[in-house]
Amino acid sequence: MPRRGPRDLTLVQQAIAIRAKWPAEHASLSHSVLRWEGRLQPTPLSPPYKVLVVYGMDARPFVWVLDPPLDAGHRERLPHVYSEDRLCLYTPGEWNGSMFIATTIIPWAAEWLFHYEVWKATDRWTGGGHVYAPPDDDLLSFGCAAPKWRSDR
Amino acid sequence: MPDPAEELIAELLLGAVELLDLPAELQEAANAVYDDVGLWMSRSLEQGKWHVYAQGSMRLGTVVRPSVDDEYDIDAVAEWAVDKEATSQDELKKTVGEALRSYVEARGGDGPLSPTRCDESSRCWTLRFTGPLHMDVLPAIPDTKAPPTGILLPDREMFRWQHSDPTAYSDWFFDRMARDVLEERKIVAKQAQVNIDDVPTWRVRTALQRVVQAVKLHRTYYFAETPEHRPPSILLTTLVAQAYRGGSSLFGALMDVAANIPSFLQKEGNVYVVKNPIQPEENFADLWGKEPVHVEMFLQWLADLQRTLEETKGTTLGLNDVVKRLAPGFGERAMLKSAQRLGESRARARTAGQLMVTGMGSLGTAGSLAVKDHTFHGA
Repeated sequence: MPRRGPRDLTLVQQAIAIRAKWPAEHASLSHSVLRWEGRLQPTPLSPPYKVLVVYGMDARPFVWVLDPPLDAGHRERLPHVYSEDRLCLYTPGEWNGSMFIATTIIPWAAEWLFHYEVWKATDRWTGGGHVYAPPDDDLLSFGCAAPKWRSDR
Repeated sequence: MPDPAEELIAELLLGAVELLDLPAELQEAANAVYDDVGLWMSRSLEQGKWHVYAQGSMRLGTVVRPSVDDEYDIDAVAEWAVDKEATSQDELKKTVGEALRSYVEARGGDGPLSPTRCDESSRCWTLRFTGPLHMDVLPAIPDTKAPPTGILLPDREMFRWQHSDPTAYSDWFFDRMARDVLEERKIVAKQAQVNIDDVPTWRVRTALQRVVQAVKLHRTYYFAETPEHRPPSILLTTLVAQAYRGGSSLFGALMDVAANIPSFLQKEGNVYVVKNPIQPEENFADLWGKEPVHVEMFLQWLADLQRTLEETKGTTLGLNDVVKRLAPGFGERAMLKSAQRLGESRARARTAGQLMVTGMGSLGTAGSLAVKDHTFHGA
């Protein structure tokens, strides 16, 4: 499991940047884990989704939508999620700890929600993205794979 | 400042209307057919000259088909430059029919818009094509009492001549949006990097034309089960053109028009009157005088249009709910396609570095932060 390295931003730096841009309903910071819980409304006609970001020792932010719960409706699976409906927001290598969560992960989560709503209406994912299906047991949901660097190590 | 919710609904509605409008290539091909049929008739028929030209929504730039699978329904006038005394309604119609049949034989083929058939109906002939449209051709002669563009048309019983003037009506319609037409032509010319003179009027759509299209579309769905109450397009187009006062978005313009239209329904005695603006003796609402229930249905429909838009604006259940609310009134497949195009345009904007996000997480052209490009992972 990769650890955050010397070039990575510290959790404090990440937390300050998030606080400056995104109001939190709950936020906490320990020496090893940053948690942010806030609302994202991808369009003015959308619910304010409650989103949870957790960023810990293993150098990758985890993102969940808490409320309203994600709903695949009549379809078998949600698009672009990992196991436990964590959002798949980037391709391995596209994000690293030197990047601010506030200007990448959180806007990407809002964008994910936008395309999720279009998908619910049309059955089509319009956000683009990779089709990636490695032999991995993390492939629990809609062909969305675990990041390769996780299963490799 | 424009309301972001209204802007988003307007974007979805506009997308649907664009999908149901006549595409530019088909419009260009149809324009060529008008000229070709006119030439054919003048050459193949011995007596007199013929002029074939667009009328109705085709001339006004307000064509809208009900659904993405439907054919476009466009109109033509085949005007024979002959005196009223020199022909009869019967002869006029037969002459046009024969000429159109020989046209189909001569020009039929596999081209993108080749004529395939000519069918007769009560007052006109319907030309069918290899492409997804049909053209109702109305035989006509000049109305010498209403020069220079007035015409006389056979009525359904082929007995009395009906007065009409599609050219003057369209001049009236275009006069009401002359500045917008010019602005739109400038925009298209700039995009295509051509001279404004190279952008014909039929190439562009103004906000008024879009409002007329959206109103006609909603009318079509609302009265689908009760076609006997369905207000005719000419009545709607006239009322919308009179009630339209500009506006920042299609949403606002539709709400405005729906609210203002009742004040343009004049009453003469007990009869509602919507005068033809260029032939005031003609009442577009003449059916309403005979059956007042039509007026009631018309007002209920306007209220329904406003209610649909208001309720859609009030949702907080997401784009999927917006589409669900608009689909019954504006066509399900067009709305779904429009939503898909909205998603794709946001994805393109992100790739181009132009997608912005607000402090609430709303995505669009407004916001303080540009969304960095990235790739959603997985299928």
